[in-house]
Amino acid sequence: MLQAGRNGGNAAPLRLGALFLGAAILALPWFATGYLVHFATLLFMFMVLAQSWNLIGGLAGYPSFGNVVFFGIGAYTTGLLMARGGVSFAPSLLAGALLGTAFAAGVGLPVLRLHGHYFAVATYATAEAMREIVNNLTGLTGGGMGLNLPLMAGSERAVGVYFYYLMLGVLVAALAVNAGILRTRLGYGLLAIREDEDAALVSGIDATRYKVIAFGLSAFLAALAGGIYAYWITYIDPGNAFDVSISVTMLVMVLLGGSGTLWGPPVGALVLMGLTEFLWSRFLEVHAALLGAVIILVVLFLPDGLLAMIGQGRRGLSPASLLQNLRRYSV
Amino acid sequence: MTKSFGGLAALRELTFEIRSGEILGVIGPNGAGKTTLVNHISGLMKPEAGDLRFRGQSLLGLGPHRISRLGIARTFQTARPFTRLTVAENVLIGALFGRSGLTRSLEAARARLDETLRLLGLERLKSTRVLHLTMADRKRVELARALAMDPDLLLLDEVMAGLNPTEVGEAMELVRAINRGGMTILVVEHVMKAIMGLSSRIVVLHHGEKIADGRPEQVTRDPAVIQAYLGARYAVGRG
Repeated sequence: MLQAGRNGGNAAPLRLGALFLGAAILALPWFATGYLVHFATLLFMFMVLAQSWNLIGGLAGYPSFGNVVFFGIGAYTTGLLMARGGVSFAPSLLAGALLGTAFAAGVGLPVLRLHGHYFAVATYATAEAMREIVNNLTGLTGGGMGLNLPLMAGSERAVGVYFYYLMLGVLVAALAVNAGILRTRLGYGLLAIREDEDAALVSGIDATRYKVIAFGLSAFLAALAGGIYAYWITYIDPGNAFDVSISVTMLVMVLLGGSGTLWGPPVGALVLMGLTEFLWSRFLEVHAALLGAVIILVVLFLPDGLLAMIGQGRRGLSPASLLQNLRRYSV
Repeated sequence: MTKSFGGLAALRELTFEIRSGEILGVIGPNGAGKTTLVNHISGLMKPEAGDLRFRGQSLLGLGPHRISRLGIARTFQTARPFTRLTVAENVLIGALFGRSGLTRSLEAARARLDETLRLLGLERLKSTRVLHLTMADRKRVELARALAMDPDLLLLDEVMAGLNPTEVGEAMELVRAINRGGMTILVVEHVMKAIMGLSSRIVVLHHGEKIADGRPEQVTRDPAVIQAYLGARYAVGRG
């Protein structure tokens, strides 16, 4: 279906390269600096978030601007259970993921009735509202003063390596979920919904059910990432756990790499984070302007993302295709 | 099987039925309510009053996907296949989600896909994305998707629009072939040659009301019909 690798002739060197890359990723903590391990873990986290956004935004075609709400719910649930409840990490993490999913199912039923821009605004508003709620429930969450999680036992290096592999594991799971879906009824149903929801309905697709499932899966992954983030960074507050720029970043990563594809989101994450790291050395701080620039770049030159451009080659960068892209977005 | 109606909204007090195995033509000037009618039957719109029954079962309150699964499939006036997907993916979706679809395995659905592609001569376009196809081919893909759903009732909304005379002839043959297989078909059309050639019965709509219902030869001589299309001047001289 919509997957990379149609050029069958180059299979062997590609597979060898992939194997080498996989080995390098697995071995990285043994020969890299603490900073690189931290950066890679953050990269994996954003790849997970991008994959999660891909389910609702890429496959179903519902552009959520508020997916950070699930990230934050995961972070705070895990944080509160561990810091206030003395619960250990694994059950706290799972509880966070499940709560995020439940929230998505609940909020999704009304919100998924909206389309396009309205859906974007509604999801954005939901995330902002949740941030304010958490900010104001000072007694429970610590409000603006934030929440400190218990520290994991072990050296700084060992802890860093633990989270590296944990986040990598979640990333592999997220990729597996996306790959799995693309082969099933759910995958076809979501793509149909994205292309033309009315036509999907009259073709027999229960659009509401599928949208809620996609939203729920998206929330599960994002909340999982959030819960791990909380224990890894050991400090969360409404500002970093419900940061709107996380919502926008994951979205831009997917668009940059190739919306609705399997490898588009991780590629987009790698390029975007690599770019900011190279240019500014401080990924999380300075990127509002960069995000804006990337959005413009994608709209004008890469509406189908980087992966598609690799397929198109030179043709993709011509003035003719620029005009074509501009026309696509005319009202 | 009969399908009967009574309903309001942009259609006023409209009552008619369609009988099993027939090809029912629906004609009328623009704005008469023909597409609205198809939207009501397929569940995209709800009547304000009245009932819609399919084989004795009321369709009121059922979402479009449920109605499709009961055995009703439709095409759209401006053909709406899934443009960024391939022809095969489009038709597979019909096979996966139509009436028999949900209990089918993916392999069985693929078999139905191949059958349908063969029936409509779409095999060589199987891996082409719909956005690269001509209008006539897009209509065939949309029709294939609808047929892959194994419907008992097929609603064709202006399927001939935009086709040249040769394509119209081919489309008519296709519709006849599908009907010979036992399919009940409702054809909304402007192309008179197609409607006259295909329908066993014709219903004429005007301003949301039924103004005629009968055999093609009768209906085209009906003064009320002539008046609706051409104005009062032409109706007087006939009889």
